[in-house]
Formats: sequence, structure tokens, C-alpha cells
Amino acid sequence: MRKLLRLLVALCVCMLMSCSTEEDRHLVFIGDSIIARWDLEESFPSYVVENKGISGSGIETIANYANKYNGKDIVVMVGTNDLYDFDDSTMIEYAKSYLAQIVETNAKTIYLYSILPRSFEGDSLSINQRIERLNSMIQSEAENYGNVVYIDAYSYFIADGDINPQYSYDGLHLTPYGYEVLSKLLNSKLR
Amino acid sequence: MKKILVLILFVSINAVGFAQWSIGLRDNRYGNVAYELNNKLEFKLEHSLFSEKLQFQYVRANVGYKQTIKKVSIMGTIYGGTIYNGDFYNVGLNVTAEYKPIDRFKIEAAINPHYDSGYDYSTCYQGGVWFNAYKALSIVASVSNIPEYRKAEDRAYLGLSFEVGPLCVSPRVSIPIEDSSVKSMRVLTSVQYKF
Repeated sequence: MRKLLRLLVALCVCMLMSCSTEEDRHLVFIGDSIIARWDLEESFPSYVVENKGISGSGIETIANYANKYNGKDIVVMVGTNDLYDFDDSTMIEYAKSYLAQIVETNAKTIYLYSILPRSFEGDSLSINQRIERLNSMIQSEAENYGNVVYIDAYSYFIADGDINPQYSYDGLHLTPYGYEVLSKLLNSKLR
Repeated sequence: MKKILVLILFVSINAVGFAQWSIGLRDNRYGNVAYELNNKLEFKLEHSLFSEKLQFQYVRANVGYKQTIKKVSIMGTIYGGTIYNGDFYNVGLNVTAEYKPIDRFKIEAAINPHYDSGYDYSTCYQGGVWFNAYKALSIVASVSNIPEYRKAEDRAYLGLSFEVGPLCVSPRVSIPIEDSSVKSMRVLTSVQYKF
């Protein structure tokens, strides 16, 4: 009988521990179609994941999430749909407001992916050079915020000036192999 | 002309006599239908099963010829594939040699000149062993850089093969060899059913 009681106590302790672990392992993904199309449960089987990605969204959509993620961990990938909304002279302003709006979500930790290279229909030839410049501005802005973990995915996706064809079907949206790289990069930061 | 027609008819009748159809799945993502003549000539059509729009699906045609001399069999396969919207295509020749010194053990090597319109030319390879462990169960191990999708990556494979009657199921683990922070292990399953 005593053994049985001990076993029950041990089980209860294990259950309590697993509950707290689950709380820690909750991730909310916000962003554009790249997030929206991601099979998160397959990529992060040991996390409780929420996919809040919206196709076509840009940083303005993120502005709607101000103070919405208090104390939570979020993963963000956004910006590729905004690239034609500003020019080189206003890029730095965009980078500053980009970071400010993401930080306003009030999340505990923000895992922020760089903007990926692209070669989508109608894209200008210099699009990836612009993305590279914007990413470096966003990265240096991110250093001002202690809760932002910047993840450089761009340099893993670029190949000969374009998005690596292994990772994208159409120059913008990702293949399972592209998502494999994103998962791996995020996992290396989560551990 | 009459002679050619007679020849075609003769080949067709013979072909029907020794023909075999099979359907299957390769590496989780490519369904296939194959037609084999006299255990030598094979026509295979593969189609992707991506959870994507039709324009991003991939189709590949393979024609192979196999010749067996004693314990060695050699198979040459030419193939060509394209994505539906024409954004990329790939073509290649795969020559596989198998040496089976004893019934339960086989060594396999392949050379695969491969061209992908996005990645250009690469010489791919495969080398491995097959060991029949118990009745229908075999163990398979190999190294290869033959693309699972489009890119040639050095990978090691370790898997099992269950062959029961006309059905063969081969699950395997694909492990990246190159040191990279973004390469992942994959679990791949292939299935083939012969009619």
C-alpha cells in the first residue's frame, strides 16, 4: 500500500513538472504567408504551437498585435510584402518602426527571422541586395532590445544571388526543405 | 512495312506474356506506376504528391534496361522530369551495378550524371550494402548524394526492407554527412507493389 502511495506521489510530481514544461514550450508564430503555410506541429512536435500567419501581411498587421502577447514567446517572420512600400532613403525609418512594432507585442522573447531572399514574378533584379541591406539594419536595431533573438536565415537561403531553388517552389514560398532549414535554425536558438 | 508491323505485333504479344505492372511510392513524396518487360526493360512514371498547387507538382519519366550476368546485374536508367509550370527541369542517367556473392548479401554501386536547370550539372553517386537478416526482413545501408528533391547532398542512409510476396516496404533514415547547422535528418519510406 505504501509503495502504491509513493508511486502515486511520484506520478503527481511528474505531471506537475510536465505541466510547467508545457507552459515554457508554448510558441506563437506570427507573420506572412511563409508562416501561414508552415506545418508547425510537424516541425516542432515537442512544443505547443500557434500559427497566426496571414498571407499577404506586412508589418502593419503586426501593429494590431500591440500588447497581445504579454509574457509569451513569439516567432516572427514578416517584411517581404513591404519591400516595395519604401525606397532606399527611407529604409532605415522602416527598419526602426519594424522593430518598434514587433517589440510592442510585449512578448517575453521574440525570435525574429531575417527576411528571406526572393525571386518571385516581377521582382526587380536588385531585390535581394535591398533585402540584405534591410536585414543588416534590422539586425543592428534588434541589438537594442534585450528580448529579441535575431535569426539570420537569409544567408542560408541565398544561392548565386537568388533564393536557393531547393528551398522554394516559386521564388517566395517554401518547400518542405526550406521549412526544414527554418526549423533547424530556430531550434538552435531555442536550446 | 508489313515486316515492321509483324515485328511490332510479335514484340507486343511477347511483351504481354512477360509484362508486370507495379505501383509505389518513393521517399514519401513521389507516387509511381511502372511497367516491366521480361524483367529487363522498365518504364516508370513518377509524380510528386506535394501538398502544393498543381503548378508546383513534379513529373518524371524513367526508361531503364537491366542485364544480369551470373552474380552481377547492371541497370541503366535515363530520366527526365519537370515541374508543371516549367520553372525547372532535370535530366540524367543512372547506372546501377549490383553484385550478389551469396543469396543473403548484396553490394550496390551507382553513378548518376545529373543535370538540374537550377543547379547545373553534378556527378552523383551511391554505394551501399543489403543484408537479408531474417526471412522477409533485410537491412540496407548506403551513402549517396543523389538528390532527394533537387539538390545533391551527401547523405548516409540506414534502413530496413520488408518484402512479403508482391509487396516491398522500405523505411530508411537519411542522415546528413556534411557538417552543417541547417541539415536535418529525414525519415523516408518507399513502397512498391507488383501485380
